[in-house]
Amino acid sequence: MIQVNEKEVYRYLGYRNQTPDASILEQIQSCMEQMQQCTPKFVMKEFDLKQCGEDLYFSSVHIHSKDLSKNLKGCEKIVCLATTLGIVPDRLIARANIQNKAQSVILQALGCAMIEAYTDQINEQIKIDARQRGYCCRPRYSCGYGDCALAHQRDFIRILDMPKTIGVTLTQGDLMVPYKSVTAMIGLTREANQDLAGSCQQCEKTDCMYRKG
Amino acid sequence: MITDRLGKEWIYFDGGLGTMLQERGLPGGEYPETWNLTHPEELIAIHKAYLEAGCHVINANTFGANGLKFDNVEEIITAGIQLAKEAKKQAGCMDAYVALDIGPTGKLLEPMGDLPFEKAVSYFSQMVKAGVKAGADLILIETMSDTYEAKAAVLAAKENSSLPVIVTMIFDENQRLLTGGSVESAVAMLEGLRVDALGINCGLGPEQMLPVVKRIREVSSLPIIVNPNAGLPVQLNGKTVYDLKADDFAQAMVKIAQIGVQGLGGCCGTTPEYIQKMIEAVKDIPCQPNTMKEQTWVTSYASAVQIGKKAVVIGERINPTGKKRFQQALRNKEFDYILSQALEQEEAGAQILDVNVGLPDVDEAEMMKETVVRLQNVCALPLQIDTGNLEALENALRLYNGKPMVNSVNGKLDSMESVFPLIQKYGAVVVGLCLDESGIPSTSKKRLAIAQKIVQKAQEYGIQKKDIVIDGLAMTISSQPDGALVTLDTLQKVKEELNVSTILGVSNISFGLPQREIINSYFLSMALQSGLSCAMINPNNEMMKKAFDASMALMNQDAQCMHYISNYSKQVEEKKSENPEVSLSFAIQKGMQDRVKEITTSLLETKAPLEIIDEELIPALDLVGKGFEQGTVFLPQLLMSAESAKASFEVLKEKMAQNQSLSKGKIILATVQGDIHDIGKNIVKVLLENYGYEVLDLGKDVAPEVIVQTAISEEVKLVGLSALMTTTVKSMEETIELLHKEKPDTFVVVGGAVLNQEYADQIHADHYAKDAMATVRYAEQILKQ
Repeated sequence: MIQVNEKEVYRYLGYRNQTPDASILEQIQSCMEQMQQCTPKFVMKEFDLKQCGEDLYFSSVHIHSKDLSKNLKGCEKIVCLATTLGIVPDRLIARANIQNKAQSVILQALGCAMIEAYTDQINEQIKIDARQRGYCCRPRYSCGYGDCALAHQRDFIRILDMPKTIGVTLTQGDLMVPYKSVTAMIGLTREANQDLAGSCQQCEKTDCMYRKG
Repeated sequence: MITDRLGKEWIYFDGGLGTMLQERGLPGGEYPETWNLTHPEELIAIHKAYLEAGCHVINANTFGANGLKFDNVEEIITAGIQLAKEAKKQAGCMDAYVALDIGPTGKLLEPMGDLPFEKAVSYFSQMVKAGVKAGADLILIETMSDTYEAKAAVLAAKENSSLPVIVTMIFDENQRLLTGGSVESAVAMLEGLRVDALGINCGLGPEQMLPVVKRIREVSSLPIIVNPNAGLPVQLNGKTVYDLKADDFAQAMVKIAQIGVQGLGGCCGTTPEYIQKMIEAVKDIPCQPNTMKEQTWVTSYASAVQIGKKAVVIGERINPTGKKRFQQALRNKEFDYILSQALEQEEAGAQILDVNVGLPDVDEAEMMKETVVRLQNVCALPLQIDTGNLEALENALRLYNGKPMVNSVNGKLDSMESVFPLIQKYGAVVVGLCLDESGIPSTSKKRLAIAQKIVQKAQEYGIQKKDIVIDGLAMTISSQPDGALVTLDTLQKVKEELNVSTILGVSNISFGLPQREIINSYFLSMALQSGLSCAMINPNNEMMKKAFDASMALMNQDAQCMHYISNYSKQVEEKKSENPEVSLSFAIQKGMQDRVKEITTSLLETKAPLEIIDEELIPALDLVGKGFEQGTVFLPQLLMSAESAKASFEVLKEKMAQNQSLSKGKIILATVQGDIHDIGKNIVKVLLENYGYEVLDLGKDVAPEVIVQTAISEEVKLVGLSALMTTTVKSMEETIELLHKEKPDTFVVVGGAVLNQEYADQIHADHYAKDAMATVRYAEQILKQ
């Protein structure tokens, strides 16, 4: 089961530091129960990583990105990870859109919090495994962040065989379906971590309503 | 033909092909099918090794050779089939079969994904045509995790070849497909489509497959094929390996063989050694053909309802007959209203939904298509396609994900000759009405004779008795005094003498009488006692629901009265805690939807609809809207209020004269092309509707041309566009450019997660709205009369 931090759900719903009133809390509870039907799945593979300036090479993939190169500086291996909550949230959200729009945004927020929490869980396993082999992990990084093109989602689909392994597909516009899915790259380095801050601090969009801290 | 042998002797399928190719140097991430052209000798060697291991069926290397991945589909498939045939020759196994192997496209079909069903059919058709031309002996559709995509592939196979078709799906340990389908839903659909054999492959090892295979054996009557992986995957030094050795695999396959399947092979991780040892281990176990199952299943993509075991409720409300509001929704294509009718019935306990969208001034064939697809997007219940329009029927049968019910065929020859071929092709449980060229017989004996005629005629089309449900026809007792008795007697006779399930549209019985639900509910109980299998009723009608639930409990069809107890013990408590008197404005602000409906209804006794809108609704909405703008009301609360206001408008609309319009103007909303996130757009929609605007919701992933054409044809002054990703803002810009060029007097407001004022200016939007209320304010400014 995925442990969700309820404050994260409130934050995604735009409550910032406030707590929703009783009737909304009740709906959040009901949504949480519905979301128990989710079938989270993940797939990952580890590859040797070569870096040439702002160009990154692993498996049959070539990514040109200044931001990702910075994140992966000094890494010799890269873990490609894909996680998903499966098709259930998509169906619940489509349904709530007809019946109860408030629930559709709650499910949406809850889905975000759940997939992040689930990805954190898997990421933690990767960190433990890496530590045992003498590696440190960089914060995970996804296609579409900074100057890392979203089109690299297609590489993920291919190298992780995502439609077959976890049922995640891409649309023409390179968006993932089911919606609540994450792909991420995690660099492994022998260097001690300079403890890079989490994603909000790295992000350049400082006027974001969801920004933490 | 392989079909002559399947079920009479063991048929062995080959093992993993990708595994073998990777061992021979295929780099991870490269399409294996390219090797048909670049490394032909490796493929011949692999196929040969499998033939020498004792396989009867080898899969050509064509799994992913579809038009989404390749420009040269025919070349790759032709080469793939020829290499397999060459291996047959070299191995001296001329009686082996070469399968055109078809895997999933890797895309999710509409409406969940963005690949249209017919597009999927055409990609698969291209593969089938090439495979037939190259001389494949059969078509193996495998590793399917979506029943819908499997259906597209089977239709492609059937429409472009006469080869045997085998389908194996990929189930998980919970016996589910990745898209939610169950063993029953997949088996019923595939049997309906008349595949020659079915089964399971990939995903699991043989041990984990055991319970799934057992369930398939319990439900299916067809030969069963089982091709497991070499156990479960484990990561070893960054590589995926499987945890069963060849000997363990062979032993596990013995257990599978003993369940009573007919075809055995392997999938990922298995090699010729695995297959050879498996054959060695199972060859002396006698191969038994599968048995015929007399179960009637109606299914959707996820759920399966069995008919005949226990009475089922079919919800009748998706039907415009006598319902002004529903007719209006059909004419205006208000799908949200139609869908809400479905979900209400599901919540009230309907197990199947009847879908009738026929109106003289509506294009029923198109409407049916869209309604079925949209219904299946939000509602998991199986559907009963209710139409006399053959084009509408075929559209629905084709696009339906599962095995539906069809309402109906009757004893007239031309009805049977036009409906049965469609049932034969697509598979369905069909309702047969007891009437023919000479009308509706007045005796049960004659009605039974028509039922018999329908069952017999169906057999000519290969439609089994278990897939027919007879409608005994409820005729109103106000004009035919013995109508109910004749109907009840027909139910009994059909059940006892024909052993066929029955259905009734219950409420016809009281036509022309006052307080119809009294008659209807008693008649329902009597019909259930006479053996009725499917009760077509309004499940939201309290009395009908009570009559059904009570009958189930009384007839020992509700184990320990659990359903009855859970439904009726809490109702009394709820009534006690009813809310005290509140105003409409308060109820809207608090989002109390049920109260809002009640209060609106009672207000209508003293006030006109427009008065209620101006004095109660709009001020309440304004309060909530202002609260949202000031940051004291948050999005979920805003939406709860909006939905409540909408419920109030629904009540008012029913009271208002047909020509009286509330509309303050039309607004188009769309999520732009390439983007599939529509939550933001949907939020804006409900708020705009609250404020009296007529929203033309074009949906998600909408092409610029469609938006522009609609703006022109509907003379729309304001268009709202939404985009979530930076990559789709480009498409927003194109839409704005085209709109400004083709319809310069239309304003464009944009919104979405990645947008801000700066971005909006860059793409020449007329306005940027930071949230839903901001869009409402802009609409007020632009559409002010």
